Amino acid sequence: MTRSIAILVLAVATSIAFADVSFQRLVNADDEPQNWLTYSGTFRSERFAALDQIDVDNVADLKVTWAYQMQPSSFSGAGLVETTPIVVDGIMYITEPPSTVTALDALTGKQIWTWSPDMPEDVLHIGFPKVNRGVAVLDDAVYVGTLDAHLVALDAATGAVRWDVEVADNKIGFALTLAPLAIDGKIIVGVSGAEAGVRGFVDAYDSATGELLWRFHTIPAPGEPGSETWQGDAWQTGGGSTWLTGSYDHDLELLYWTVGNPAPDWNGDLRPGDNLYSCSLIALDPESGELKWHFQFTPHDTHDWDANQIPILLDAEFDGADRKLVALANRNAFYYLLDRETGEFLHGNQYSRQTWAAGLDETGRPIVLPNTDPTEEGNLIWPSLQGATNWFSPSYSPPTQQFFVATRLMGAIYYKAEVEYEPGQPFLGGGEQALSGDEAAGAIRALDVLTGERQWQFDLQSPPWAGVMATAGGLVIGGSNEGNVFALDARTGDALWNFQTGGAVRSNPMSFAVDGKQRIAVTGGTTLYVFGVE
Amino acid sequence: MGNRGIAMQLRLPAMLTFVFIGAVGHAQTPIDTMTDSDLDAGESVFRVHCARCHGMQGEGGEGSNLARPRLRHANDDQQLYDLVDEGIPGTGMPGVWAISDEQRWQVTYYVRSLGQLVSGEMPGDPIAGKAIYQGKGGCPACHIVDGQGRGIGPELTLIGEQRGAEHLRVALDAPSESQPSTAGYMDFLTVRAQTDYADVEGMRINEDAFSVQIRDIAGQVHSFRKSDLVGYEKVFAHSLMPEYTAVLSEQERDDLVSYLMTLRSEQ
Repeated sequence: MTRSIAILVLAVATSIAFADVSFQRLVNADDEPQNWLTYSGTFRSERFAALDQIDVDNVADLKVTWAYQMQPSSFSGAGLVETTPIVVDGIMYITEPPSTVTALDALTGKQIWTWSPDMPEDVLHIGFPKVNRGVAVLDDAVYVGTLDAHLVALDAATGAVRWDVEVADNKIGFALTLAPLAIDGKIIVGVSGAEAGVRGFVDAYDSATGELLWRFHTIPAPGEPGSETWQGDAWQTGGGSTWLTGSYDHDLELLYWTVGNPAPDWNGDLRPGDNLYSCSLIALDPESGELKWHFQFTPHDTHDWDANQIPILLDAEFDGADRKLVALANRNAFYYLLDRETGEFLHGNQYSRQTWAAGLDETGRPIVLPNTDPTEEGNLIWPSLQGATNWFSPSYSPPTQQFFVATRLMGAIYYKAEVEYEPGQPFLGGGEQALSGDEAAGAIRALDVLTGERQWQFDLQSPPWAGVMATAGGLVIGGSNEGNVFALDARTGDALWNFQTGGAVRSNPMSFAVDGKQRIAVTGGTTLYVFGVE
Repeated sequence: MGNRGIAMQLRLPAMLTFVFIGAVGHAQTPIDTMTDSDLDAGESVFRVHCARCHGMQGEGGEGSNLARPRLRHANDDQQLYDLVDEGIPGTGMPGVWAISDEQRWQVTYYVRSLGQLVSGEMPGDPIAGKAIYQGKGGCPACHIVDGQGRGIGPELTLIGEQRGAEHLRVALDAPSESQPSTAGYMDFLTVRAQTDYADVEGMRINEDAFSVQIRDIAGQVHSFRKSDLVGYEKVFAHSLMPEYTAVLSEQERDDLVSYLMTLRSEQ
């Protein structure tokens, strides 16, 4: 009897699972902390788990409740897992490299369906591994960007293709590796490809039909605002890719998206000027794609310091006034706090080792030190091209106003070389030799979100490729290249629990609840682990 | 001086070597039509991306000696190209993605050309060196060659193709200055761990943020949780291998290096 009731409950739950994830549910994601509805948890991108069942007192008892072994496709080189799962009412949606989508029962890890695109064997991925960071959900569909630069809508219940559009031409280096962002009737995506000299953009597609609604080019054409920061034809191959999911403010009706490096990466002689809107945070009108404001972190970048990090939205008192803020820890080793209504620079400070700038001026522009550009002989600069942090997510804890970031303490010898653009080939103008192994290190750092001051750090053996997640239980969850998943005390940075997954952790933790029990999910190697205390 | 130099088995006339290479690289590749300017371009790429580990002439250093006609991980040009592209997982060899297809073929062409170089004279007598290895040097106490010896330090069965002669000489004279590493991590880093009960000195086998595994000089493996340690020290400028300047004469060390350079797969 009890069993049949349980089955009935499960059946009901399942029927709910594939129903509507309305835009309103996404806006009000805070109301359902048992689910994880967007890449970064909410439109504000805090990557904060509001669940507190797992806390500082019981985290030592955290154990694996189930694991799912991914089946990286037959592609050579496939296998780096950077996905953040989405969980909706007991169903988990993940991606597996390079562009497979799989739905799992969040209670047991058993597969519901899986879908893989037909991918050309010679798919280009210039400057990055064959990865995918996850899906978006809206209404009754799941959206995925593919390595060959398509955007595909899948039926959430079965994985059947609803529509499939080519966002851009993979043969000249475009690819999609990011999790799309779903807002009101629109799917927003950006592209990878600056290392092949593409001209980057942000796109909005009709969620029901796949129709392109607008496109914002991150590198302006002659005559457009910002074009004065380019010379000649350099804008045509100017890079500025948009390969990480942005944030969204429904009240302000602003979409926040980050822009990557200018191309070619290391030879800035070929593109004099500030090279807007490379290495910038841009605020777009989600209805039209119109640019509302921008802030450039690294003008005329020559170190491949994409600004593709997660912009975290928060409201707080700053200098005696209530402000709507956006915080971002940049790959260039500086932490920034901006007004997200206007883009005004409010505060910035170094948060990780760097040797290229004396600091930031009152507008937030870096005061660049002489002789820090790449040279033919090589020039040793911190941070390395992989940056003081990278795509993997930071986390913000609203109750404690702490900003957590996984940081890479690593330098590199940067080289400059001649280069000519050829479609579908690397367009780099140099290279680097990173200081690796014992010459490099990593750390999880806790910053005061308003001042950027460091509160503590937890040392890692090597520069990490995994993000962090703070929880209402007072924890910071993270991972390491050496395969550790760990829980730190958010107040002190003390390690309270760790587990060896057996493979490098290269993704972001997330949390959900199923059957009334909190779970924490993170990947190690090509296995997804789900942890709980009971 | 009579025997010096005979160790190297690569003294094929350049032309013959070239024919041999051609036979190995049988599949059609862009190398078939490459010119001297491609060779120069390949050398430029090599200096930026490869020379730091493999030596300016590919003679080996921290990375393998590439100046030989047959490479262990690359039987033909296509495999060498793929290896440049993707690296060798689990070793210090990374994939070099930051170059174009053409540059990748050019550097492949350049590396193949290194196999045609006649390697330099050996500094000593390899036959005398073998006797020193097994006798006065006491090397088998810590190293394995062809299955013989104790595995405390690195295996030396193929050391002649993995390292250059200069590197090996430094390894004998000042081991702390010539430590092998994988992906930047010293393979035999000396570490000292203290618990409430014991002090352990040995070579780091593995380490993460929470634990460390150590092999001591007797070969015993110790595993510690870092939270249980009261002290932990990495001693970078130190090697558990003795400095052989105090053990062997200059001539004996030359002989020993010459013997080590004969330890190769292509006999």
